[in-house]
Amino acid sequence: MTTALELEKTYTIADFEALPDNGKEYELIRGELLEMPGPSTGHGIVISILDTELRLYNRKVDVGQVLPGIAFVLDPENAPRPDLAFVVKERLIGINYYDAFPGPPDLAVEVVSRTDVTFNVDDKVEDYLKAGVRLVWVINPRNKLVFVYHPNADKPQVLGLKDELDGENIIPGFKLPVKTLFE
Amino acid sequence: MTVALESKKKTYTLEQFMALPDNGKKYELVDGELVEMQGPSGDHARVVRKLIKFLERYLDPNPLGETFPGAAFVLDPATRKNARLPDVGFVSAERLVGLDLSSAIPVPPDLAIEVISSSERVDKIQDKIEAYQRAGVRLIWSIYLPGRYVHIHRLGDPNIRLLNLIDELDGEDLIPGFRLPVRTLFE
Repeated sequence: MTTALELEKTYTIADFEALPDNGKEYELIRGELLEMPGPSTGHGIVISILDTELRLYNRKVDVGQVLPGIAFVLDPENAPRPDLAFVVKERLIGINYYDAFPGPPDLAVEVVSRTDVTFNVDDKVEDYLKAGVRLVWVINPRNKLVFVYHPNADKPQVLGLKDELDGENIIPGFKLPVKTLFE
Repeated sequence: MTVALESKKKTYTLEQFMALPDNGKKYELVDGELVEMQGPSGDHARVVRKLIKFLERYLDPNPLGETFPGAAFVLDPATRKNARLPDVGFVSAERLVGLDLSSAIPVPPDLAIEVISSSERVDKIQDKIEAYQRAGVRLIWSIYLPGRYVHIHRLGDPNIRLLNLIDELDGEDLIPGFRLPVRTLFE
């Protein structure tokens, strides 16, 4: 049976975690419950490539966990689901695996969809950085660019096909040519 | 959003497009089909007005070309199936010579300026930028209203240069010497 959800009301994290399973995935963004659209093929391929590369590298260095599609509780009104996220080992200790992750990821990755509105993507990045996410990669499969955001930086770095993603101090030594994502 | 006037597949010639009756809506011609444009917000109109003001102020003593706000530019002069309306189009003086401006501007602009509102979809913005670049538009400024930043797209460079409030727009080799602090647009 389909459970109707009143999408207009303001939701809290408690409401969000108590949502009945209706086969759909939601994020809580600024108190609003948003249904996650099914990813397009291009979107799915990029995530799958990056997920694989991160896992292969992390298997060697074992510095944390790659978490795809997980809800992260940033504050009482925000529980976004980055397409991919990475949480360092120290922060995984004592986590209750039955709830949404209680805090921001260290790295959040968003792949821009066809139907996304720039404004919403910008808002999401702002929420991540405000909540303490240390590195955000926004990948746009259409123009094959990656925007890299850091807290306190006045603007993102723009990476093109000749550049490399860098795990920085979160996944030290992880480097991936941007073109790998779009091959 | 693509809205076709009568039936979805109806195509228009450039002449039919330019002769459309005024129904209070604005359209672009994309591969022969009509695409309705968003009505501009107050913020949108304000940024366009400021751009025109500063560009005109600079171009008056430096006649390097002309600005055309809201004019239709034919992006594909050979096939004439695509006419886009940048918020501001700039055509250099040498390319203006002998152009018939009595209808749509028959060639693409050298510089296209797009002011982007909060509700525009990523793919629609990208479609337009790619259409300009295919047409040989040398410089595109995409001014994002909600984020208060500007993406600079140069022909032949797949990368984007990102300017924010502390940076300056630069006329580069099209309008040499023209500089405008980005924050000026949002004050």
